[in-house]
Amino acid sequence: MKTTNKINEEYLEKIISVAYGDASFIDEIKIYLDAKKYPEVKKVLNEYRDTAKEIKSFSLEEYRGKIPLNRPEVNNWLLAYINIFIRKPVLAAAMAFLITAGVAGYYIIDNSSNYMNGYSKTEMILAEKQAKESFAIVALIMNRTKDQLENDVFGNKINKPIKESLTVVNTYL
Amino acid sequence: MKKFLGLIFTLVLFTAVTVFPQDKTDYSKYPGYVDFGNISKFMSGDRVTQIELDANLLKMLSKMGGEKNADFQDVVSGLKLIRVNSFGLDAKNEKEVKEKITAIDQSLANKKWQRIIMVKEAGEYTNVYVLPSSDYENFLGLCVTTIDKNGKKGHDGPEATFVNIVGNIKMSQIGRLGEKFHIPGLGKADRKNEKKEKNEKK
Repeated sequence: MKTTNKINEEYLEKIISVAYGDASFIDEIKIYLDAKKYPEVKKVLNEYRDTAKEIKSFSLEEYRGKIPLNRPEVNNWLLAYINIFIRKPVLAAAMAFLITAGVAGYYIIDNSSNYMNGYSKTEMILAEKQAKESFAIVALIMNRTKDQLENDVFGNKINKPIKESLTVVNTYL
Repeated sequence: MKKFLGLIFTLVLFTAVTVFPQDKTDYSKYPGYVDFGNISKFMSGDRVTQIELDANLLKMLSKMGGEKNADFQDVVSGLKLIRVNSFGLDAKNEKEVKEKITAIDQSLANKKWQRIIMVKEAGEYTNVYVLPSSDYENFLGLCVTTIDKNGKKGHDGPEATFVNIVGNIKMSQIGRLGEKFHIPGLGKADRKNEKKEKNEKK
């Protein structure tokens, strides 16, 4: 659009915003560069700048009486709030940040009191029970083997033949 | 505005990452780790016990409890992994499990593991292996493979149990602790504890 003689509506809005000083930083740079490049843009921008200067130079006059408003009054509080956030995006972002930080903070504090290194109390209690159960299984197997050794090996396979041999020896002596 | 949103997104992401740490340790790097292979295929019946306590959890357990738990904390503090797989046997899988036990036996024999107990008698198989540290002061791993024809409770029918404990193991303490704990349904160990308690009360 800047290359042609015509300036479209959207671009014109941007020029006006820059002239009145309420454009975004990026738009401001863009229009500034275009104005340097295209005389037509520069001309329009200067015109609006002059107008803006004139408007700003107006002194405020005290108005006595009611201002006739054509637009309907916003009674809905929710709409009013939304309106604030639409008009002030930085405020909306700040609110979002505060809410996120609050939720994250609560989560971290809650986590540190109820959890240990990512494990819940229930998980820890279960883990303790399972560790003890594991040791008990090992002990059970060891004990069973020990009993088997005492009863079967020492009892039947060693003691019994020794006893029998002693009986035989006693009989012959 | 975009920068601001980016900052918020980064903060939320950072919080999520720090609050929920994901730790996947490769336990096979520890010398005391024993690969039981695809044991999960046997873990489908009614009598199944599966315990897997990782290093993080064991570390936290070692800090939990007071003086009452001192013995337990002491044993657990050196451990990296506790793994127990126990399941009932039937005619179909008994042969396969016995083959697995033989394969584990051969695999450990080829490494520096020492078999301290071997029982093979009338349907009962018990192998207990330990991996001593280089200075023979303690053990770095414990492996138990067993088939008990009567099951842990003593009347359930054949049952296989695979145990692998990885880390610094104090065997005497494990035995002592194992006998001390009341684990419902753990046959003889439990009955022994009950007898001991009854005698102490008398």
